Amino acid sequence: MKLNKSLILVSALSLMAASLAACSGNNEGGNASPSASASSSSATASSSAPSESASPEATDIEPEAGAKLVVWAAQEQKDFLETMGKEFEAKYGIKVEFQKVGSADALNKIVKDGPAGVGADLFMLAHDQLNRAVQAGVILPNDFYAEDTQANFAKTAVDAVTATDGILYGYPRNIETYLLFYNKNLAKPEDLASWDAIKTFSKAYNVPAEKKFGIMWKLDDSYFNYAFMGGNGGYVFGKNNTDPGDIGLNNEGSVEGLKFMQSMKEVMPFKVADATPDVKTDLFQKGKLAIDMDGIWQLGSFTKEKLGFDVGAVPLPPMPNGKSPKPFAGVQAYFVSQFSQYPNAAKLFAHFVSSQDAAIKMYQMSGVVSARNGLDQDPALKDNELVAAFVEQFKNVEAMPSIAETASFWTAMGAVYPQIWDNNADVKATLDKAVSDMKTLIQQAK
Amino acid sequence: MRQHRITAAALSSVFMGLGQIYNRQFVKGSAFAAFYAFAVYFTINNWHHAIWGITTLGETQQKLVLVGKIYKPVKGDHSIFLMIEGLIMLFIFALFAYLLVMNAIDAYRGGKLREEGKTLNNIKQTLRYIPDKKFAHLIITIPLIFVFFFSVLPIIFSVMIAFTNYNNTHEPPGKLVDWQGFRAFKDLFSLSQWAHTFFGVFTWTMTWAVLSTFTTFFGGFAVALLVQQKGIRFKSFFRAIYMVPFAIPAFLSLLIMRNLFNAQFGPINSTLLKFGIVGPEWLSDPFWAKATIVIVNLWLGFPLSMLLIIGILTTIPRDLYEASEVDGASALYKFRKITFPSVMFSLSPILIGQFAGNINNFNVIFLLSGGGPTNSEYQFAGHTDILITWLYSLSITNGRYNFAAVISIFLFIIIAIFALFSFRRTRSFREDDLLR
Repeated sequence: MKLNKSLILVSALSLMAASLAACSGNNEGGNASPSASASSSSATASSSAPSESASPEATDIEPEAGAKLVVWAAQEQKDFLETMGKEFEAKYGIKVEFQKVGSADALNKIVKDGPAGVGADLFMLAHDQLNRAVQAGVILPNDFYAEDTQANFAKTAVDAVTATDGILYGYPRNIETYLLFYNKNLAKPEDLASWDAIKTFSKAYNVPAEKKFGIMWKLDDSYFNYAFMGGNGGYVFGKNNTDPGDIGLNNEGSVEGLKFMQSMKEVMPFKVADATPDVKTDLFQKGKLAIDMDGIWQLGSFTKEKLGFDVGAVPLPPMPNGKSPKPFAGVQAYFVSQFSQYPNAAKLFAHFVSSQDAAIKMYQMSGVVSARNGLDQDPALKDNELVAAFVEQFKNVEAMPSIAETASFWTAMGAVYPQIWDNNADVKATLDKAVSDMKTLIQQAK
Repeated sequence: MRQHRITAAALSSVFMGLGQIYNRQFVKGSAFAAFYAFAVYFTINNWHHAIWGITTLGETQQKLVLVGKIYKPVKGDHSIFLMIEGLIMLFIFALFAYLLVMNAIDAYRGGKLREEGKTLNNIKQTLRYIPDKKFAHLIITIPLIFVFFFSVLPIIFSVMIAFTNYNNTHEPPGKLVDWQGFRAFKDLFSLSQWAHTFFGVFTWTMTWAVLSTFTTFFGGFAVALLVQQKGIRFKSFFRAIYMVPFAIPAFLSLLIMRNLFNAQFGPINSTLLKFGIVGPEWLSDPFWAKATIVIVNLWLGFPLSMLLIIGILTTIPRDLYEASEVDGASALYKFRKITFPSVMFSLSPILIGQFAGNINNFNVIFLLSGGGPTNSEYQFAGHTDILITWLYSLSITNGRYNFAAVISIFLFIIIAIFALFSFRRTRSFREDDLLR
C-alpha cells in the first residue's frame, strides 16, 4: 500500500517534469501554461500510474525531501515572488518564504549570516558583485541548468553572471540600463535626435527660476556619466573589464567623452550636489523636466496612469563626433547560497522563477522585463514603446565590471565629476589623478 | 607550625582542591577538584585547536568539487570564526589560571588559620558566608562576565583585525585571512598625500567636535534660560514644542534637511529668493557646507541640552538668587557666579561625553553632505569629511576591513586621551562638595 503510493508520487513527479521540459522546449511560442499542463499530468498519473515511466532523463533537478526555502529580494519583488512561491509550493510541495533584503545588501548579509546557518537559500545580486561573491565563497554555480540558461537568456546577461573563472553562477532575471525618457507634451522625438538637438531644445525650454529644465540626470554618478567615456573608446579595465592592471579611464577617448559631458553644462545650470535623483524624478513627474535620463526600473512608475502625460523613450543619441554613448548595464540575477541546506530545491526554484511564464507574470506584476531571449516578441510586451526603446538600447551597452577591484573605480571616479562640472577643472588632469588613486587602492588590496 | 599554609598552598597549586582537603574542607575541596578535572579535560581538548586557529587562521580553503554535473561545496576553515573562537578559548584558559591562583591563595589562608588554631568554615558556613559577606562580588560577577565577552572581546578582536589582510579580496569563508603584522599601518601611511589629508581631516574633525558641542550646549542653555524666565507663559508648551525634533529619528530628518538645503531646488533658497535674497550654495560650497552641518546639528541637538539644563536650573536654590539680589548683584553677575557654575558642575561630564561623541558623529556628516564637496587636494576625502566618514569610504566602501580596524585604533586612542584627560580635570570629579 505504502509502496504503491510512493510509486504514484514518483511517476506523477516525473510526468510533471517531462511535461515541463516539453513546454520549456517550445517556449518561443510561449503559450503552454505550466499550471495547466501540471494539473493534466497529475490527473493522468492518478488514473493510470504507469510505473515504468520513472524516466532517467527527467530535466528537473530532484529537490531534497522536506526542503523549505528562504528568498531574499527587494520589497518591489515581494508580490511576484510570493505568488511564484505559492505556485511552486502547489507543484513541488516546497514552501518558499520571502524576506526583504535588497540586492545591494544581500552579499554583505550572506557573508555574515551564511556560515552561521541563518542566511537565505536564494538571493538577488547585481552582477557587479559576482566576483566578490565567488571569492568569498558564498554562491553555488548554476550547474544543472547551465545549458538551459545559456540557451534561453541574452548573451550580455549570461556573460555578466559568468565569473572570471569561467563558471556560470547566476540565474539572470533582467538587464538594467538607462536611456532618455521624455515628456511627450513638452518634447518631440526630433528634439532627441542628437545631443545638439537636445541642447537647442533645452536652451529654448530652460527657465531656471521656475525650475523648468530641458534635460537632467544624476551627475555625481559614474553609472550614468560613464556612457560618454565608454562610447568614445574609454574603458574601465582591459581584457573585457577583467584586467585591473590596465585602466583606460584617462585615455584619449575617455577624456574626449568627459569633455563632451562637461559641454552639457551650458544647458544644465546646476551643481552636481543639487541634481539628486529625487529632485530630478520629482521635476519630471510634475511635468517641469522634459527629458530625463533614467533607468529601466522606472518603467513601472513612468506610465500615463501615474503621471497624467504620455512618456516616450529613446536610446541615447549619438554624440557630435557621431559615436553613440555606451551606457553601463547591470544584470540582476538569482544566486543560490553555498550554505543552503537544500541547494537542489533552491536551484529548482531559481529556474522556476526565471522561466518564460514567470517572466511574463513578472512584467505584469512589477513592470520588470526579463532578460530571456525573444521576450520582446511576446504579445504581452510587444506593443510597449518604452520596452522597445530599451531593447534597442540593450544592443549598445556595456556590462559593468564585476571584479573586486571595481570598488576603487566607483570611489575614485566619484570625486571627478564635482571637479569638472562645478569647478571647470581640466578633464585630463582630473582623470589622471583619479586613475592614480585607483592604482593606489588596487595595489593596497593585495 | 608554619607548615600548614605552605603545604596547603603547594598541594592546591599542584591539584586544585587538594589543599582544601588537606585543610579538612572536604566538600569544598572535592568540588574544586572536580572543577579542576573538568578544566584540565577541557583544556586538553581545546588548547591545541585554539592555538592552531589563532596562529594560522586556518589552513584549508573552502572549495567546490565537481561531482558529475553538480558542484558540491567542501567546507574549509573560516579564519574569522577561528580567530574569535581562539580568543574566547584564551579567555577561558586565562579564567582557569586565575581560579587556580585564587584557589592556592585560599588554601594558603586556610592553612594560616589552622596554624593560628582556628577552625575553618565547614561547607554550610561557606555557603552562607558568600551571600552574606561577598554579596556584591557575587552579583557583579555576572555583569563582569558580560562585559568581558561583549565589550572587551570585540575591542581585542577589532585590534587583531588591524594586523591581518581581511579585506574584500580576502574574505572568509571563501578565502583565508592571514596575519600581516604592521602592513596595514604601513600601507595607510604610505598613501600618497596621506599626511596632508589626515591633517586636514583631523583639523576639521576637531573643529567640528568643538563647534557642534558648544553650539548645541549654548543654544540649549539660552533657550532654557528664556523658557524658565518668570514672565514666560505656557512654559510646558515651549518645553514640549522644542522636543519635537527629537521625536523624529535623526536619520530621517537629516535626509529631509538635505533636500531642504538643496541650493538650486530646495525650498529654503526659493523662499529666500522671494525676499530678494540669493541664498548661498549650501552644500556645494566648502564653507557653507560646513556651516550647514553645524546649523542642522544645532537644530537636532539643542533640545537635549535644553532639557538637561532646565532640569539643573530647577535644582539651584532660590535663596542664592534672593541673597545676591539683596546684595545688589546684576542679572549678568548672578548668571556668571551662580547659574553658570551650577550648570557646568553638573553638566561638564556630559559635555565631555558629547564632545567625544561628536568626534565620531557619523550620521550628521554622512547623511547630510556625504563628506562633500570633494576636495581635490585630498585623497578620497571631501571638505566636510571627518575621520570616521573618511574611513568609512576608504574601508567599508572599498572593503578594507583591516584599514578600518587600524583607523578605529587611532580614533580610540584620540578619544580615550581626550576623555581621560578632561574627565580627570573636571571639578565634579575632583571635588565632590564644591557647591554644597
